[in-house]
Amino acid sequence: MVFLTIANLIRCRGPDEFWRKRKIFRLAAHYIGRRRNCYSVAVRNVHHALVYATKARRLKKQDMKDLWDTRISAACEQHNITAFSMREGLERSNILLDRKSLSDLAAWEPKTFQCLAAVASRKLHLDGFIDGTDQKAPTGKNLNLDNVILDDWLKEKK
Amino acid sequence: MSAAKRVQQWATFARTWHIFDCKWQDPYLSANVIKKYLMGMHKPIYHPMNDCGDVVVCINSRDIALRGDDWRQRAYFHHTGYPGGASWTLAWEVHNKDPTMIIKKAVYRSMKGNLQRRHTMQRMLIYPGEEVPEDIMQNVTNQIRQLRPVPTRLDHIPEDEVKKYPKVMEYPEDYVLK
Amino acid sequence: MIRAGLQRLASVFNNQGGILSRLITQNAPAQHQPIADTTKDVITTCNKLIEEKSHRNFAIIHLLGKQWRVTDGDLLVVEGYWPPNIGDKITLDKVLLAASKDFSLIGRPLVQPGLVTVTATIISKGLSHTRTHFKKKRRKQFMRINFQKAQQTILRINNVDIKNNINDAPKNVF
Repeated sequence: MVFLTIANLIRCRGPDEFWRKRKIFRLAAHYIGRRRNCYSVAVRNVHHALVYATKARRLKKQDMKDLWDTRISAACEQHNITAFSMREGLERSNILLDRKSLSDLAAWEPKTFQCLAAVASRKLHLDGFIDGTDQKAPTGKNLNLDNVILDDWLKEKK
Repeated sequence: MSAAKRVQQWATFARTWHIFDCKWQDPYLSANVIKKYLMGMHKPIYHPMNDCGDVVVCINSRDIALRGDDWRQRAYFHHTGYPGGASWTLAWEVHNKDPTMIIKKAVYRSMKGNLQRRHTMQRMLIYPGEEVPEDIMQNVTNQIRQLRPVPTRLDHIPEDEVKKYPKVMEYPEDYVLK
Repeated sequence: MIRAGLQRLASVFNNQGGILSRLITQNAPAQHQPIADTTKDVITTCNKLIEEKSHRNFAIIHLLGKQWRVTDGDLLVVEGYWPPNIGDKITLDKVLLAASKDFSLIGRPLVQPGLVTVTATIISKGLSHTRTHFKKKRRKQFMRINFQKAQQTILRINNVDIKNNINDAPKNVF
C-alpha cells in the first residue's frame, strides 16, 4: 500500500493550514498564473467564482425565460399576432401551454405553432378582443380556418 | 451527417437579404427593427450564440427624418484620446459629411455591446441614395416594412391638382401672406 | 379535446396531391360546404393517418409542474422528490398536446383521457451533482457555505401512442 497523504501530514505547519489551503487550491486548479499558485490571490478568486455560481443558478432561469420570449414573439410575428395576444387567446381558449413548450413548438414544430396562433387569433376575434399594442402591419401569413369548425368549441364557456 | 441533413442545415442557416427604405423614417425607431433582422431575432430558432442573422440593405439614408429639433439639437460625441480631444458634432453636420453615419450609429447603439456587435454591423449595408450595386441587389429577396408611410410633399403634387383642391375659405384681398 | 387541432390538415394537403387529395376541404368552396361534413372529413382523415402510423408522434406532457415535449425513446431527468422506483412502468396521463407530422391534437387543457398514451419506465434514481451555495459579504465578516443535492429520477419514454378513435366520447373524466 502506498500512503500518499503521509508526506503531506508531516509537512503540515499549523493544525490544518495545509488542508485548509488545499481545499481552495483544488478549486483553483484550472486557473491561470498567480491565481492558481498564490493562496492569497487564489482564495479571492475562488470566493468570487462561488458567489457567481450561486447567483448564476437564478440568472440562468431568467435568461432562458428571455430567450423563450424572444423566440415566441419571433414566431408570433410570422403569423400576424403579437406575443401578448397569443398568450391571451390561448388562455381564453383554455390551452395551458407554457413559454417553454410554446417556444419549443415554435422552433421545432412550426406547423403546430401555426395552428395555435390561428386558434388564438380566432378566439380573440370571437371575443371581440382588441390588442392595443398591435401595429396592424402584417408581415406574416394567416392560416385559413374557414373550413374547420372551431367557432362552437371556442364559443363555449370555460 | 447525411447529404439531406446537410442541405437542411444550409437551408436553415442561409442568410436572407432584406432591403429597408429609410426615406422619411426615424433612424432611432427603425434601428430597433433593423437590429432584429441583423441579429436573427425574427426567427424562432434565435439564440445569441448561433449565427442566424440576416443581411440588411438600407437605401435612401440621405432622406431620414429626425424628430422635432433634433437636426440642430442632437450632438455626436467623439474623443481623439488626447487631452482636449473631445468634440461634439451636430446631427446636421454629421449628416452633411456622411449621409450614412446617423442610421449606422443608431443601429450600432441599439445593440448590446458585445464581441458580436461589430461582426453583426458588417452585415448591414447602407446607401445614401436609391442606387445599389447590381451584385448586391440581386441577392435581395425581402423588403422590411417601413415604420410609417412616406408623406407626399405639397410641392411634389402637380400644381393644377393643388389648384383644383376644394378650399375652406379664400384669403381676403388685402391679406398679407408672410 | 381535438377541438382545435384538426385544421392543420387543410394546410398540409394543399401542397400534396395523391390519394388523399379528394379529402382536401379547401378545394370545395368553403361557404357551401355544410360545416358538420367538414369536421367529419377532417376527423376521418386524422383517424386514417393515425392508423397508418407513418410518422412518429410527439406529445407535450405535464410532469411535476413542468411541461416536456417527448417522443419515443426520450430520456427525461426529473428533479425533486418523486415516489416511483426503478423499473416502474408508468403512464403519463396529463397530455396537453399530441401531434404527428400531419395533424395535432390540442387539449383544453388536456386531451381526452385514453386517447393518447405516453408510457415511460423509470431507469434510475439518484442524486444530482453537488451545488455549492456560497454567500459572502465584503468587509462584514460574513461568509456561509452550504451544499445541496437534489434527487433525480431518469425516465425513458417507451412510446407515445395515439389511439385511432378521435371522435369517440371520453370514457371517464378526471
